[in-house]
Amino acid sequence: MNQDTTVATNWSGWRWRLLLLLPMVLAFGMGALLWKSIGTDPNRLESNLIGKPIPELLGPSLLDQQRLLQRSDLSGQPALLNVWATWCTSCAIEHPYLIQIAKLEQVRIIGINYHDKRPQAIDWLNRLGNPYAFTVFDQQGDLGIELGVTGAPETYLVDAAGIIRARHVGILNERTWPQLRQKYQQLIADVDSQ
Amino acid sequence: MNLHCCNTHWLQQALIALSLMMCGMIQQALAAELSSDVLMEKRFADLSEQLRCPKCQNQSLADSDAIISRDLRRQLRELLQQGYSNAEVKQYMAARYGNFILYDPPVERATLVLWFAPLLLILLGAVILYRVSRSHHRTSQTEHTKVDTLNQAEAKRLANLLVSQDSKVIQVTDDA
Repeated sequence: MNQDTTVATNWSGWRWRLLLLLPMVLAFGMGALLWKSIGTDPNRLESNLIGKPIPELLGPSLLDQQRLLQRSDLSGQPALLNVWATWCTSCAIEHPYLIQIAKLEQVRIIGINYHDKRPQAIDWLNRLGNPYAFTVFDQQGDLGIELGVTGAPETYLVDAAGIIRARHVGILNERTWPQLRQKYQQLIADVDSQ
Repeated sequence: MNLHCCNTHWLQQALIALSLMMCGMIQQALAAELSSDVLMEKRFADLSEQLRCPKCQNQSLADSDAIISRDLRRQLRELLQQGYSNAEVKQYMAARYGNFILYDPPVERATLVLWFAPLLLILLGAVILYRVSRSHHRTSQTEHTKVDTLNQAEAKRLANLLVSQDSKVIQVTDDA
């Protein structure tokens, strides 16, 4: 009895022993955290450039070699910047969907032809259709570095002022477009209200 | 003739001396250029080890053969040639690809837990260990004092027990 009281006042009794459960609690917490991240794509990194403008100079046009495309070519409308290439198999899967939203939803899409060969790329657009308002020919991936592109396909949502608002890594389709569409429509509404 | 001969001799010597001198100068200039190249290469190699390929998670820029890594290595070389310092290069990369690209993320509010949680856990462990060992020590001590302070009745009983034990032992030896 006497011993119990000294133990309690010294904080080394049952209350203290509870702390020994801490590693277990931490282990469970860790487990829950890892469990939650199962199935999420580790490649899906939030862009560091959200809120930043796209570069002033975009690069040469794919279809018109003489033309140098600039930020001002966005012409004051929100747009999707879609990174694609003929060597990218996922881009071929994505392509019909881009044509669909460009046609049916009047989404303005700007292509970034990434690490590609000009004749092949032009041929691709001729064969499969061209959903792009215009396409930047980014042969060396320089624009890609400025935008933080890691591969293709990748899509950026840019507002009327040319500021990056969202980034999507991977294919745009029925499943992935709705999240981006919501933001896109918001930007359109912002422009209309001005 | 003789004079002529001596003249050419002198000219030859002068030319040899001059070319030797120039050799030395060229060599010196070459060495300087080479060493700055070597230095640049060293920085390039170090930085491409310290930056992570943004596409491939577990590889550095140096290890990876992804398109993006090749682009970034080319860009890295260009930045170094433009005179960027190592810190500026990292800043440039992190501005575009986030802290993900740095194997050593900077100490910021968002990364405080990352940096200091291990230290805190070790400290916590040490405190727990200390407390537990001290409480063990104390309980074993109290048990000792308990044994030391037998009351008279207990002492007597113990003595009796010990005596009977002894006699038993004696009995056993007798039997043998």
